[in-house]
Amino acid sequence: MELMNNDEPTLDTLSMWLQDQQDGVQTPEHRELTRHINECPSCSQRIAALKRVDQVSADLVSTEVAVQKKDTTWLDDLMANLVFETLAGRSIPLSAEYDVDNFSITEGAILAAIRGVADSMENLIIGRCRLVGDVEEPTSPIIVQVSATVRYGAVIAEVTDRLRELITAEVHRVCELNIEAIDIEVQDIFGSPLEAGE
Amino acid sequence: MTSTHLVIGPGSGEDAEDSAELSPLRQAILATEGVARIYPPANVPSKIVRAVGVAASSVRAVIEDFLPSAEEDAVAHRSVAVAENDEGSSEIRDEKILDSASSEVTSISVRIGTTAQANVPQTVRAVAQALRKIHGEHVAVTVDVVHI
Repeated sequence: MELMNNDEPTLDTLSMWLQDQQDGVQTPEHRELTRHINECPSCSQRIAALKRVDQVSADLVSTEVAVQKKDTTWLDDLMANLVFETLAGRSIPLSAEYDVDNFSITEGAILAAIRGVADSMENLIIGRCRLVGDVEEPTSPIIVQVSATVRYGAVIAEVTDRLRELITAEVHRVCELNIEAIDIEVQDIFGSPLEAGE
Repeated sequence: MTSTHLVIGPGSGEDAEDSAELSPLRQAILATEGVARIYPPANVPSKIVRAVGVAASSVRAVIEDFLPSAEEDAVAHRSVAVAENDEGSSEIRDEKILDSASSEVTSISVRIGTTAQANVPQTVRAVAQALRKIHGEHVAVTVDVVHI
């Protein structure tokens, strides 16, 4: 595990750190990386996402290993987007009472918040999440694009409606974007008939 | 009169010392409802390229409590350095804490993380209000939310 001067730790490094953390490892390198993670919002968000992936994976394995789908594209999709979404991204303005003030929130923080509420749902895992539109322009119409994987047996329309409600509330909590639409694309099913009690 | 730009860092850790100037600001920010923590400033210069002599009145002074050397060197004379960040752009920064009689805090920047339930727009406005209670109505506040 190595953290070079100004280099960002890789996802592999963060994954190893998480494992060491769970194992109670306390090497100087581990402490150095812990310090970096505590001060780096991107790495903090990646660690949070890795913990969620760990949890989801553990849940699936514990239900019924034998009937798990070998196709884990949903997991690959999630991991592939994780790094992109936890970058700071664009700076999104927030309104201020004084003209001299300058308030903003990073795109990465908003995407992490959206992913956070989506992860609170048991029957759905989101893969890609994007803010489409000129987010740096306060009144510009924005579309939230989300790809999702739904648990076998769940009613897709109900799950996506609930996700849309949660995202709407969360976006209003964290920023002032003019959300025009929330597009949810269900790309895959996870789980199994056995798990669903069939 | 010299204008001073304060950059508020977390002020914790092995290398950082608290300063009398920044500690009340940091405490006010952390006491604001919805604020979870303060993050280090972005684009910390990777190296000081060269030191030059510039009239203090012409520079934007930066007090960086996250760089321990800035505090250790905070002595009476005013040496000004040109720092180069990772993007290659240059920024003039005064490593010295200027005489309060000849300088005025005109702007304050901070990067924060908010709590999981906080209303973020309200929180950043509350942070600005808290800082104005200390430095007055004239001060310009920049708040960047980098983590939720």
